[in-house]
Amino acid sequence: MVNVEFKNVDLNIKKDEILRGINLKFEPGRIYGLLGRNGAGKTTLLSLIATYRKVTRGVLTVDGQDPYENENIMPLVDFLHQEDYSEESETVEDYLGMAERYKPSFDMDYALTLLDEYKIDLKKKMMELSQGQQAAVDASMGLATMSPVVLFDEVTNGMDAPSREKFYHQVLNAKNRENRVIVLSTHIVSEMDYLFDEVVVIHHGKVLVDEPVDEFLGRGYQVTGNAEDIDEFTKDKEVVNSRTLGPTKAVSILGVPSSEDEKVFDSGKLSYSAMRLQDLFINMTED
Amino acid sequence: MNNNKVKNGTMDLSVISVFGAFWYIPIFTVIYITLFLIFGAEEMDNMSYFSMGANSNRIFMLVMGIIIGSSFIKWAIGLGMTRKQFYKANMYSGAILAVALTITMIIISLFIGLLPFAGTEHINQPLEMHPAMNLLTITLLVYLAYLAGTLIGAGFYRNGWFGTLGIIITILCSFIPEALDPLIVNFSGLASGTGVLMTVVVLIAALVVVNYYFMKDIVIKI
Repeated sequence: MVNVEFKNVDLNIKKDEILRGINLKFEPGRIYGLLGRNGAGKTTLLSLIATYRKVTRGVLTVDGQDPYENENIMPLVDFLHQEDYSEESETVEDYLGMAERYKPSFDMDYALTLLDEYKIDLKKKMMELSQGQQAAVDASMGLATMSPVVLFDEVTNGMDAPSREKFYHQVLNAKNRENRVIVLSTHIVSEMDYLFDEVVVIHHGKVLVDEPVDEFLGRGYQVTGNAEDIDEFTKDKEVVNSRTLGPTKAVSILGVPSSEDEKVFDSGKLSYSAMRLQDLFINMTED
Repeated sequence: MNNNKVKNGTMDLSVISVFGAFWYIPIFTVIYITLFLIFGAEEMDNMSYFSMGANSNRIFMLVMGIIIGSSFIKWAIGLGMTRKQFYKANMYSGAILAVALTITMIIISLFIGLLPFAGTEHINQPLEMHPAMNLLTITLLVYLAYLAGTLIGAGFYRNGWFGTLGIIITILCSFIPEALDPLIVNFSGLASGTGVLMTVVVLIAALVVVNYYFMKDIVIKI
């Protein structure tokens, strides 16, 4: 079982501190949602695991070893991110063949099954595919390599809604097939939240949140009801998001409902539901 | 598994270079024939196909070196290769291509030489050693150009300063062998070209080492 661990990791690029004091552990068999605003350091964090660059301070291990220039560890990690295939004349078939030659654990049948779901013509050149199809090829390759650590960085960019939905199902199936560390870095929080077992929020180069998704969502709740009742209910509460549709209003509130609040919910006047991950994320990363 | 990575990398990089050579060789051949048809052998110093090709091979290899040094490191790391494995594959594939290109040029020159207008003089190479040593020197000069190219490519991939350093090293490598040849020949009393061969061997060794340091710890850009 391969895990990934950051211990007090810092990363400086020239004089800029990009990541500071990162302490994280990615365990096998779990899907991690890596969230953060633009420029927060998500891609950089993933690129450290993929050894695209070296940590400045601290210890990063994959399977208990430093992955950097480690011939045995580097093949265990797959880092999928948006690529420019505009000049890539290799066909999808060639790409699969190459992955099979370089990745000993690559499962060709699995790759073909995944790609078949997107109806991608294997004879087509990569540059002839649409951006969404290219992303689908990347996503399928990431899953089919069967690497114990798979890092998806905004891999659904360019995919249409049905393709994204297919990808989410494929990720869940992959999780059930193998005990792998799967990290999904995304901005489409609202669509992917149900995939996550754990949430990691990076903000200004620091880990703001690292906890199971249920625990994270327990930081707040959502209440829906008549707008006037809602306004009355939220008078002394921290509202992080509010949406109104006609006379109905839905608000996201930070904190745990009191016993009196629960009585209100029991009365049926207002309805209670779990907090939306996106609302919480937006609230927590607002400067 | 790890040796396979170097082997696979060497093969794939060689295929890429061979693909480039499939464009380069016909274009060069057409240019050679056209020049001789237009200007005549005398105007062209009666230069043989192989002699002219030896020089243009160096330019081709320099370009291939730049392309591979700058564009394929990310591809290699993405496939789970280490920088060191990519470096080795690159060094090997450059050597394979230098040999293959020289042999191809010899074979084509045998056919081109049959044409009535083609040149016959090997005037561009001040090499008067044993033919096998001359050939070895020409091949090594081609390989040296490739190493210089990868240095420029990897250098600019790192940053502008390393790229500039690569260009300076390339300029030095392009004239040092022939500049030092008379000195070494006079000193040693050996045949002309010995100095070129000795200098090229030293420069190749130096560039193999410098290439390693250019590649080591290179940051992959995304």
